[in-house]
Amino acid sequence: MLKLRVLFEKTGKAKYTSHLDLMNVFRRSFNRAGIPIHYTQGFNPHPYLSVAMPLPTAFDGKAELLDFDLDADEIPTDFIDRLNASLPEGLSVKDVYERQTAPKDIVWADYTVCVHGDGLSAESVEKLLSRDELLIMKKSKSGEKEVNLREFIHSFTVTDTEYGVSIRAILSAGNVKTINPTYLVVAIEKYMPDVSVQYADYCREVCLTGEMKAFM
Amino acid sequence: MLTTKEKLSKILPQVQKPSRYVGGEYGEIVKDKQSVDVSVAFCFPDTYEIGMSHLGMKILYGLYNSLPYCRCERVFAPWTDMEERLRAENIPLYALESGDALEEFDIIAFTLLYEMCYTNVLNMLDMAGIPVRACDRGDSLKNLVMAGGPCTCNPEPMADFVDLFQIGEGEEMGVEVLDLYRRAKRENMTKKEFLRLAADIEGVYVPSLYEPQYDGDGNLKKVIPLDGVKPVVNKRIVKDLDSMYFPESIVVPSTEIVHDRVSIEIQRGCIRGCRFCQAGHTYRPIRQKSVETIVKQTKALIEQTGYDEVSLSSLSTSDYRELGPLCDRLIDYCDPKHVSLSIPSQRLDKFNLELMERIQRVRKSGLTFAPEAGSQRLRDVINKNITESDLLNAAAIAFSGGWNSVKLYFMIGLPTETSEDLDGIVNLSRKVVWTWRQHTTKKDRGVKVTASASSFVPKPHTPFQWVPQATLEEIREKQAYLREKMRVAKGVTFNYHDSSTSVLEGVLSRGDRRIGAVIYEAWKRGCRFDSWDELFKPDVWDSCFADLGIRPSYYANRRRFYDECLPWDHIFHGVSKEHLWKEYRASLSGVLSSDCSVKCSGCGATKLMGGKCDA
Repeated sequence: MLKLRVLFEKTGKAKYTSHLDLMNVFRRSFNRAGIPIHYTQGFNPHPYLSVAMPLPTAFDGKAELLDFDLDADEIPTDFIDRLNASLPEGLSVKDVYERQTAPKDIVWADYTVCVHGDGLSAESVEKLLSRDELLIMKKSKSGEKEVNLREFIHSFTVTDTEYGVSIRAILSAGNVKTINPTYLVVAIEKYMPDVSVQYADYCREVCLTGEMKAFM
Repeated sequence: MLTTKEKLSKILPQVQKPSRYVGGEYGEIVKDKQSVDVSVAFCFPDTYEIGMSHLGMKILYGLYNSLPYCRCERVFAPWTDMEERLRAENIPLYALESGDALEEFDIIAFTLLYEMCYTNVLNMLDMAGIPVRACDRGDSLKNLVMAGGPCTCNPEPMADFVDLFQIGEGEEMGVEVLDLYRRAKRENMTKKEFLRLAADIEGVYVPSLYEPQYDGDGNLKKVIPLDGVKPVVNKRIVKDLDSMYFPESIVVPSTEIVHDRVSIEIQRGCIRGCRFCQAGHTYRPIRQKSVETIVKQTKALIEQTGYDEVSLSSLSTSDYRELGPLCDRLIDYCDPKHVSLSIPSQRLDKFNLELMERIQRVRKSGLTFAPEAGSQRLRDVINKNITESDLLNAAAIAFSGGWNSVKLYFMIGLPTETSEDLDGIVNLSRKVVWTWRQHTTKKDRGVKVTASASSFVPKPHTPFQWVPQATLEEIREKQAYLREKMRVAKGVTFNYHDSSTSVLEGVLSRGDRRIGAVIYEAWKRGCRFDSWDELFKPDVWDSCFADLGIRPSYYANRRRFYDECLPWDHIFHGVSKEHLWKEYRASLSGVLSSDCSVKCSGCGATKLMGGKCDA
């Protein structure tokens, strides 16, 4: 039995598949591709499938990771092709390998946020996000809490675009400290009242370890 | 100015379950529109989760796409939050595969599964920018509105909105209609010309070519066929289920739906003749698929979909002659692949423990039995050939086999029903609890016996089509009576639904063409998703009836007569009116009729088979 990890992209129409649904999609795709995933023993056998870091629904993900166990001694050479042929539109496997790391190593995530609206400029958004104090209300399971968004931002750049601005930001992620990039837009809407935001597209480019290396 | 794509990017994250509106699922068939001659938008008038669970849609989607000259795409009713946003942004209703607006399609095809979806049909047409009434749509072939499905057994209430009904089974008829449409398009026929030709196809009903006439008292006198069309429309059947079209691939949703599994039909029709049951009568004659065909189709779909559950579908699976050998073959295939087999619709007098044990290793789900009526007398009236000892034997087998959850289905408001019959529901439920106490191997787990009572709605093409439906007040009285009695029945949970939907269902199912005006008005006043409790507006429907001067009680609660012209008399579904009336008279004296495997009752279905049926 091999402990494997699949690197895949989740974009386009697959953006709207929720995390829970994604597990079922992969399970059925493995079945269709004839890939023997390992089932747990016991009264109610089920396959072991786990996503390292769930992606919020409606986000694109360029470097998503799925862990599973394979009932075989080696990875079939046509694994990637077979699995890709069985996946729905918007999901595409880039690589498969034996996993060495655990999700707890994730500390940061690298996002691209495309903000569509009027009155936006890279200069003004950069100025806003550079403030020492950027208070917003952060929602959690226990309710809402006021936090300083600045504490969750590692680094960022902002570029002007025809539709508004594009923000590339490395934000806290993982079990210990995490922030949803939608709060960047919340901050813009709160502190820049002259700006009118129509909507925003979010893409997680990759998750990073504490040493700022891509989490694989 | 945002493009439609950008507008959708904005809207989709705001609504519930955005994946409903996106497409891109595995198995989706997307054809290049330049390469086809005919386009069909297959519209399911309810949500994505319900529509994608429906076997009929999977069959027809595959069938129409199997024609090289045709592209068929799916459309589902947007939920109210999405509808609001689509209308606000001026985005017309679109099909999932291509994103093309509905009005770009040649044929708009609806499946009518239940009467309570009618307002959704109108709403979807409106959201597409297509005039809701046939008379407002002009004489172009474009945007022809077609409908099929179970409700077509009485198509009259929807006659104002639909150009062509496919009545009965679509596997062959559908292809003939599309072939004709393709020819009509090539030859630049008008809609009228096309419809006149289509009316000659077996099973096709064109309402504009049939004129209902009423007498001085407003009763239906007769339905007149115009322009030489056949006076009676025989529903279409497929005689040989083994050679019949069945898809080898289906669309696999990426999101959770109501039934996430492969569904395989094993037979059509039913031999039992329960007098309340519309499906059992309208799907006659009985035809079985061979074990070989079923196994082949199951393997093909399990492989293509990757699903881990298969469900065998039929009206009365226990009556499938080779159920044992079929299950053996299927279990041999399914077990090593971790695929579970589900066999619903079993009769309780044929409950087979050995079979159940093999297919349900983990007794997680409960069992459902349907005695339908609480007393033997009333069960005989409805011809449900089940005795109390049949039920208690089945329960005993189930409980000693380890099950501890049983659901009992009953109906209230059945003809000739008295309070003694209602008492019977309570007594039967209590006896099931006692049976558990006697037979269970795990007393400390407790038992869950749920008695569920739905309100009986008399349906067309059944022996009870002449029977007055119980009024809302009568039903509520019966529910209150049962609730009182059930309170002291230990171990029994009593379930019942608010019956205002049953009242409307009664009018819509046995209505005539004049009901179309009410449906139109109700839709105009905001009714949609009427089968959903949270959205159903009985007060609005009531005021529509009142404002239009149409009495619901005329359709639902009036006792009808044999020589009366019924709105569906010109649609033949395999069972003759004489046979239905004979059965109705027998029911009033509580006389049982045996099922088709014992003795042929001459119901008339052999007419459709062109010979003996397969009972």
